[in-house]
Amino acid sequence: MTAVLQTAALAVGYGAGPVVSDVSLSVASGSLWAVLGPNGSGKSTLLRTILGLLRPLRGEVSLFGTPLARWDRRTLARRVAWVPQAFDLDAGFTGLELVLMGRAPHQGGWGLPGPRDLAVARAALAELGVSHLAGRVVSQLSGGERRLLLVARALAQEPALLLLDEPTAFLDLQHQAQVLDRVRSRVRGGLAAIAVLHDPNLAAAFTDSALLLRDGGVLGQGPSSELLEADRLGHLYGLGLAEARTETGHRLFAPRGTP
Amino acid sequence: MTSVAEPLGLEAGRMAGVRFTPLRAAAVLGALAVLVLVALGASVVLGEYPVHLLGALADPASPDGRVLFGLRIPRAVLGALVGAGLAASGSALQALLRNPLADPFVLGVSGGAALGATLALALGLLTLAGPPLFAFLGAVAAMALVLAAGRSSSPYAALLTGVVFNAFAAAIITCIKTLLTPDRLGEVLYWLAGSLGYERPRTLLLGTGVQLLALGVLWAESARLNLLSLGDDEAASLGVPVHRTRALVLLAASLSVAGAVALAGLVGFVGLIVPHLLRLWLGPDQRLLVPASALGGAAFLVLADAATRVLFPVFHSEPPVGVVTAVLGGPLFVWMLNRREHPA
Repeated sequence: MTAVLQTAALAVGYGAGPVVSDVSLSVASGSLWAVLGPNGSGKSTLLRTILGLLRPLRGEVSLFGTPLARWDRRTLARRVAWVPQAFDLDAGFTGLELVLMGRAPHQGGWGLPGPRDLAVARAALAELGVSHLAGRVVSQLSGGERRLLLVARALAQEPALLLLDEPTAFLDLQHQAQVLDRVRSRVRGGLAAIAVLHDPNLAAAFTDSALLLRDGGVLGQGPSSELLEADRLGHLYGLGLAEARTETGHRLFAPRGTP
Repeated sequence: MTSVAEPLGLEAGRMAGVRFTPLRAAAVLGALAVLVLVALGASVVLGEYPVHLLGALADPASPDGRVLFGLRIPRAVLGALVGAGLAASGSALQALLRNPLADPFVLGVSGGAALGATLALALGLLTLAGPPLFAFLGAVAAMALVLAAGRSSSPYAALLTGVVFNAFAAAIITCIKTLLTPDRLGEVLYWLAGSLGYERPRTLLLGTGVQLLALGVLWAESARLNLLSLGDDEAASLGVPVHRTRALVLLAASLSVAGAVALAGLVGFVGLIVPHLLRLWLGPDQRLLVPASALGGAAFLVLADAATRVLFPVFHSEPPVGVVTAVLGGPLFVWMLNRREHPA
């Protein structure tokens, strides 16, 4: 089976020198990855490089067995979707209009939605429980509601690989769990997803594999169930962590106190 | 995990929440086209010299007919062309730069075109191609500058660059003016004030071709413009070839603005007023806003020009139409800026 995403000795950054080097990753369909690491460790930069928004400084990225450089934007957009970290839209589109933009790579150049596009967009809104935002103007919504619409847009794009940059930022606890739960059920259906997360508890609860980034390199990668433990995460974030298990078997991590 | 069910809102209408439909677009554009025709009709009969329309149409050789066909109709067509170009490119630039305050005039694109055209007039290049060609080069140069500035993170960088470039262009234009002979100076001054005068049919035909081409490109790119208004990275992730689309839109907008400035001089704020009012009515979709702005801009400038002729008895001369648009547009700009900084 070809990996959906494969990187070899990848170094990413903005020209002044790599932010992260030596990322060799193989993501298969049907798997949900967490990317964890302190602020500035290059998590978003890695996602943006995989998406082709940044050139790799060194190493290789291939998607579905084809080198990244050989993909044209439109074809790539039919296979890979991105939920950006920052979202600052002033333009006044409605929720449904925004989600329909996820259909753009599948439509003709002029983007007139067909019945299937509308059905897919509405299903994505319903999947995230935000159908009531369809007619609302996005610029008047809360940060969390916008985030849910962006995830809905990415799902409406019907990708094979989904890149989520802090999908849980701005979300309340219920919606954090809801978004990751929805993504995970899509992953059970064959999607590959990589999510930048800041909460190791969410990563432990929802993801299959994890990539830990620190100090310009990879601190560890592998199955979340083995990789995510208190000592390693404590090293990752530079503070002492305590680990506990709930009665359902979930691992929980909490700071021991001021480092 | 609970999910908010949506039993009613979903069925309220299959298209609820989607404002761009071919049917709605046709209705809106049809209504605006009627408005343009009404404006043209009003414009050709209004003026210091009242034209009896039926008599003029019946006998084109009569004095009324000569005024109608020789002066009023060409001038109305000129106004429509200039208004359409400025308003539609304003709308496209606002989406591209993600700033509703972007306007060809404020961005310095008009200033660049004016500088180019002034140079051509000063050098005596009064052939058909002289001022328009130089205006186009000036507009493209200004646009390139704005584009370079607009790449930075602040949405105001492009606007500020435009303001600075306008000041720069104005200084050079002033410098050129001091070197000119009085008769040529008068020509440049009247032209710079933004006035609709007489143009030969051949020039009008060329101008029409230029605007049709430029606005056609903008309309063709309008769906990608919608995506670009989300930001370059998001547009790219949704399949838009960002650099190509940006370049194409900027070139087409430059062509349109240069065509307008070459014909009418500096007419400001049309690209701000018209798209803003239409956005309040129609929403932000450029597929509808670009053509609607073209029609709305045409009607607006034709009416504004007719107003200058109605004002003739007050001032004992015709104020340039650029004065009317600036008097309306300046306060609107300040109001919009305030609203953006302190949203309700």
